[in-house]
Amino acid sequence: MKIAVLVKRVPDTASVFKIAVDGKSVETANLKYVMSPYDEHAVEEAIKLKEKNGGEVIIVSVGPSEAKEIIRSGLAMGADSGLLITGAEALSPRGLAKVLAAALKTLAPDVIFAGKQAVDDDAAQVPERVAELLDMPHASVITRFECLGASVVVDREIEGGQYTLELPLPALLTTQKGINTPRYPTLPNIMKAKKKEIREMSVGELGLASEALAAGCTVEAFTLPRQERLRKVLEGESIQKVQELVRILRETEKVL
Amino acid sequence: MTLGGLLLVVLIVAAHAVFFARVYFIIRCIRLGQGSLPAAFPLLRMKDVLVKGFGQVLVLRQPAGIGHFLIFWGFFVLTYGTLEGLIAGVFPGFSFAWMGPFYWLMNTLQDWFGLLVMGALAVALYRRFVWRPRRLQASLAHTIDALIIIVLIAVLIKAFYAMRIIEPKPGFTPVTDMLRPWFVSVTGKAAHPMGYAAFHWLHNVVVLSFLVYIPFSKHLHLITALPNLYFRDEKRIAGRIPKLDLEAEGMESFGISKITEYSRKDLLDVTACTECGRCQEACPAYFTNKPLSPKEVVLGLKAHLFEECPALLRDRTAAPKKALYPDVIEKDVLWACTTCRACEEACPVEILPMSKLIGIRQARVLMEGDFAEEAQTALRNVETQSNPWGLPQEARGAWAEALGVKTLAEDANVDYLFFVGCAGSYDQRYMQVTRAVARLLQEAGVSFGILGAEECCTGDSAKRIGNEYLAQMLAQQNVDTMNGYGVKKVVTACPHCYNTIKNEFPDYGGNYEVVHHTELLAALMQQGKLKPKQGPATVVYHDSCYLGRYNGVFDAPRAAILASGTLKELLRTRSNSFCCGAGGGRMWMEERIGGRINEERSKEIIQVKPEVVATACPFCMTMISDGLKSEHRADIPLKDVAELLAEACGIVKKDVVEGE
Ligand code: SF4
Ligand code: SF4
Repeated sequence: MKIAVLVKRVPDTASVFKIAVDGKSVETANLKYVMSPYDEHAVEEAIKLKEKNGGEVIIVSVGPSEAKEIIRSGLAMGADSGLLITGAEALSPRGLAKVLAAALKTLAPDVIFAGKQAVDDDAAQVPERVAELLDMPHASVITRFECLGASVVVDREIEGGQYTLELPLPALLTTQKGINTPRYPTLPNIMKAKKKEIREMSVGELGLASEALAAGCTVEAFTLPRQERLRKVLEGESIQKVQELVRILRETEKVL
Repeated sequence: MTLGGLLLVVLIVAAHAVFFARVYFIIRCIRLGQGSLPAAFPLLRMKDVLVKGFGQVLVLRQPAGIGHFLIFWGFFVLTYGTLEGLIAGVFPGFSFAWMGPFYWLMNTLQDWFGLLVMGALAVALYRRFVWRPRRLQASLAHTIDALIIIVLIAVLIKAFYAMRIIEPKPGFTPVTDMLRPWFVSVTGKAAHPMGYAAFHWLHNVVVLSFLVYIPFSKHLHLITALPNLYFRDEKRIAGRIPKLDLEAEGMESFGISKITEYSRKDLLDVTACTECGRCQEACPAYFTNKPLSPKEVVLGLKAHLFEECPALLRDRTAAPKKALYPDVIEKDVLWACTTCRACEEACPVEILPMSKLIGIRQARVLMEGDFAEEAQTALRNVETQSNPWGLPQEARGAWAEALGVKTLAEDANVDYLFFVGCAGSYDQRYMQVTRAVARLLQEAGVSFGILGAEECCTGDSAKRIGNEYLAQMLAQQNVDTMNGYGVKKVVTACPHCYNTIKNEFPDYGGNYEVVHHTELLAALMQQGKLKPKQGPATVVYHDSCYLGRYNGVFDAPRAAILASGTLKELLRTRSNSFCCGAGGGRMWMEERIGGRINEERSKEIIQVKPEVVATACPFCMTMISDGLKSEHRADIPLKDVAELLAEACGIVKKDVVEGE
């Protein structure tokens, strides 16, 4: 069984973020990067499936060549090889999905796992787009996975409950936190991961037309969440305070 | 030779055969361990054996040790007579009388020691069966073991006196002389040739039974304790965890997952246990009813060693009957250890129970990735942001901004590197301590700088949780940075950083003169560069394990406290100090079993009615602060020694609290 996992290199959310001078991007100089946390659950689920049914796990990522480190951490968890596509990291989810779909077509996996979203832009759509492009059934935000051979059964989290789906293979699934506990890499696996292959290819090698990669949307501006407090205490009767609060939220802060 | 003599010869030979066969077996067991026994500097080692072994210095640290001292020396003195008796049993009429005055002296000593040893035995019996202090509460088998030995020795001494009463020897022997009239009045006559022979036989048979019994019982320590002192491993003393070679060719297994992966010294260690229970009595985990007892760890390993060895001696690759983990050392035993080192400090024969546990932790973490999830989160945070909270590495030097403290990148031409540590950089409360230290150093005109965002976690928690790989990366990174700036002297406000930099960084090529902030501050006071004003407060100081027991820094924090108030000591203080519960990575794990160590310690603190509690370690501060809260005594101010001193030196509070 061939299992692919889509992972993304993202800044650690604990980093100090600064907006770059262009106002449309984030300064990357002092950022620490990690594998997007939901992707770790995807890698874990893929390795568990491999341990049960045999096969191979391939970690696939789009990013700069530094993203190899992130792939390497998936290999240290027990995946077998990696594929990194460079030169496409600036693409919008639409273009990104096309690149990944083209690359995955050459791999022809039986199961594809991905985190439910990447914690940098929280777009939460690339894996689903990939599945649609590959014409694969897909289920997002799964909290349980079971392989029945030709099909898989998953639980999906929904507001206030969950429902269970059965999908024929090949299929794509995105993982939610509760599904498993990503393993802590062992030293022998870390050592082995250093020798495992990570294939690097540039987006050009996929032969996609540049208009196909055109952005569906573009970033206009980035702003940081405002952190300073107003330190304002409302006075008067409760009813007046509530009215005043609503007025401020609507007129001054324009959040309602 | 008489028939009796012949019989005795047969018994002597048989007893020695059994004895040496067992000793040989034990030596072969120990030789299944890795490496060789440390043996450099034989003269120093001999001195150790003389002072700690024959001088019984370690044993005598507790009052009960006096009894042991008497039995120990009584053993040597009485063995002189025993030997004479054995030879005389084979060659009737033999005696050491030709030794002249020495003979006289030894006879005198035997007479005295006989009484002293009997007294010590009575106390030993009383402690085991009437008083029963917690450390001597043992399983039935172990209690019977103790009883057998006590009875054997008592019978020996009785027989000895009986023989001397019947057949006096030259010497000043008041005890025998006093007993003689009583003996005569009971038996009706003074000469008892048959009686003498009977006691002589009894004595000889008991001596030989004792010889056979020793290596099968806890009294194996008679044979192994002195060698254990002799072969002490200086690479491991004082809690130092040697660097593992992770890149060794063909290495496939790291840490300890089989008993034979321990070093020979480790195995010698476990055979030397006297079952005295001092380690257990000192252990904070045991004290709070967790399943860990360092004594049981050692005895468990000893039993396991002897159980597995026969098969292993036939075939080195034999599969073990029991797994070291989790059959011999269980999960909750392994992870309960705070690495406070109280057990190692307490042990009279320098056994290192804690080191045994660390080895198994290394195997769990490096080979299986198996350790508490909360701790995994902390270590992952260390991997990305180089601090266990996962706060931005970039913000590491943020505490210093308003104080005008420069980084080495800005100015490397300073005397001291102030190595701040993770807690000092990120913990809101401890940042105040960091600022107090920095302000005091500025006040005293010390030239120092920090690494700021270039500083990494030293890896103390990672190392003691067992993640040697991560610990090595962190250490190397820090050493490379520090060496890059030509750092020579380091001051740190964290005993864990202190211990790691001082005792473990040399393994990575980092050799610095390291001082804890309390040491530097005490020195600055002495040089008159800091002039604190005496205040009235009664301060209770809680010793940090890693500063005190690990590195012997007891007086500097006290000197700093005395300059600003009066000092009150806790019942368990200095090298007996009781852990706060946070060491060994326990800071990052939930404490789910038994009582809480920090609450126990806080109760002890509250008991002595302090006006102020002082600590010198960020972990201690957090743990004691929580402990005081749960004991509803958050009203007692808890301060670092540096903060007390800053106040006494009139440093503006605002500087320290807000750093503005
Ligand atoms: S180091 Fe401390 S906690 Fe660990 S076994 Fe020894 S006494 Fe107990
Ligand atoms: S390890 Fe040391 S302190 Fe503990 S019981 Fe054995 S001899 Fe005593």
